[in-house]
Amino acid sequence: MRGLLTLDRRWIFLLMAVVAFLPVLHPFNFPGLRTTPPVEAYFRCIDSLPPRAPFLISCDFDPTAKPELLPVLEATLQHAFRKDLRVVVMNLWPGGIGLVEQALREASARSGKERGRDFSYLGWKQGNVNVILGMGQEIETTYPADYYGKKPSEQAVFEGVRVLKDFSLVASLAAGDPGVEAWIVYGRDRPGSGGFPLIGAATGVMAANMYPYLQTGQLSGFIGGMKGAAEYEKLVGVSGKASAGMDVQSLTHFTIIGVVILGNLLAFLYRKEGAK
Amino acid sequence: MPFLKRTVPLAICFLFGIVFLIQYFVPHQVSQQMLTTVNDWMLVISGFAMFLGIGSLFLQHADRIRRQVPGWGYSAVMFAGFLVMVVTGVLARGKTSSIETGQQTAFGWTYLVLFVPLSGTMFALLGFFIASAAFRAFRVRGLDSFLLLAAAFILMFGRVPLGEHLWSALAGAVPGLPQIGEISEWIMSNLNLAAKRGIMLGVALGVIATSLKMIFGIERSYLGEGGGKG
Repeated sequence: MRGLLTLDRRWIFLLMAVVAFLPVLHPFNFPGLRTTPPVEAYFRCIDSLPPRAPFLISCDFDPTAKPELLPVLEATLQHAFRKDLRVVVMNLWPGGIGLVEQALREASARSGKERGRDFSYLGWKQGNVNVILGMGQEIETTYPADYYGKKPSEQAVFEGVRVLKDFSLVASLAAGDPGVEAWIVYGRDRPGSGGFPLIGAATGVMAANMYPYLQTGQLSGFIGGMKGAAEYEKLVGVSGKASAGMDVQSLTHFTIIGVVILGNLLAFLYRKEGAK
Repeated sequence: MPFLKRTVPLAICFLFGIVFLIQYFVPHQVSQQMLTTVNDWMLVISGFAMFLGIGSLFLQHADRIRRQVPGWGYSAVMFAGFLVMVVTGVLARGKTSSIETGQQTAFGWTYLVLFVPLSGTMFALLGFFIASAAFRAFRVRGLDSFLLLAAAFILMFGRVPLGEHLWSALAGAVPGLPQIGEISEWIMSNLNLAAKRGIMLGVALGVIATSLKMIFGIERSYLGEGGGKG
């Protein structure tokens, strides 16, 4: 038993690998997923918009955050298209362009939406927070053309939308900086910005940082990690990748709880033995 | 040339620091136009910063290969990967799929088949290291660590459907016991929020102090002078 205290860490890695693979081979579909108030608020913000309202989604992530944030993007697009919103998508992180473009292309094809009329993809622009500041002044100055080379002013989706505050709702799906906080400081709360409604989604490790903004109302709704994404998928009524990932997350969380308890028990037992 | 190396950068930092500190709070048209102009400069300058970064990366890895230090092969892989991504990216004009046909480009293939899974794998490794570190280091040694462990267990339990399901069965047997999801949400919205807000205020005050020191030329480490003046 004492040997367990100095167990080769590769055994722990193997245990985690087995636990993570089990649901892939045999999905358990654990019941019990409940929605939480921040996710419900995120859902309501989109759901309460009138048809043809302009909605900006900033994808501030790259492939490392794909399991947590791509399901949010996919469900958000499906939700927005179902509500017949005018959707504009952009990136603040260059690594996410391919993922976002593919998700938008698939979602728009499924919903029968037309590029330029129902949605637009601006792509990525160098400059981090300066892109947000620039869009607050004039979108077309910052993005003279969209990802496909077309001027925003030539697209019906931008009708009545010249600056950030013209959007009825802005969402930031973020895996770091620049992300939700940058949209609050340089977008929403900047003097003269008009204080547009902002919602956000972030990876699990970042989620704790967002609660102060939720309480102050600077963030109107929030999705944290894969669990939040699964809750949102449930509210939208889609069975996406986040819901499928809940099996793996459930088992790995319980495994970590198990190894922490085991580690503490062993340490306690052998500390007492050592004292004798 | 201390004038060009020190005085001019300090003067630029002071001028732009003061002007744009005031500009942030002035939503007048002139002020907005000024920001738009400087924003364009920033976009161009940050483009040059990328070339600087690439140059530094190349020099470092070329040096590793030249000296054949242990693991120099990884540096060669870096060059190969860079070459493949740049060549396919330039040929596809940075598009992962064709605008006209929607067909995947060679750049799209390298991105989706190589870059995306490799990035995901790097991030997923964290889960394995966290499990190993938790087994070795997450020990109850007093009240503080016990409270931390208890909060961690509640959150890990309450943030997965299986935990919520098992707790629901328990809550059914014990009248008045709140759902685990509610408890974990309470921890996040109260205990976590209070601690986070304190940290954020502290960081913000630190940032303000450092920014003022830079604007007034007290902190000069960004000039490569090392440390502050006073």
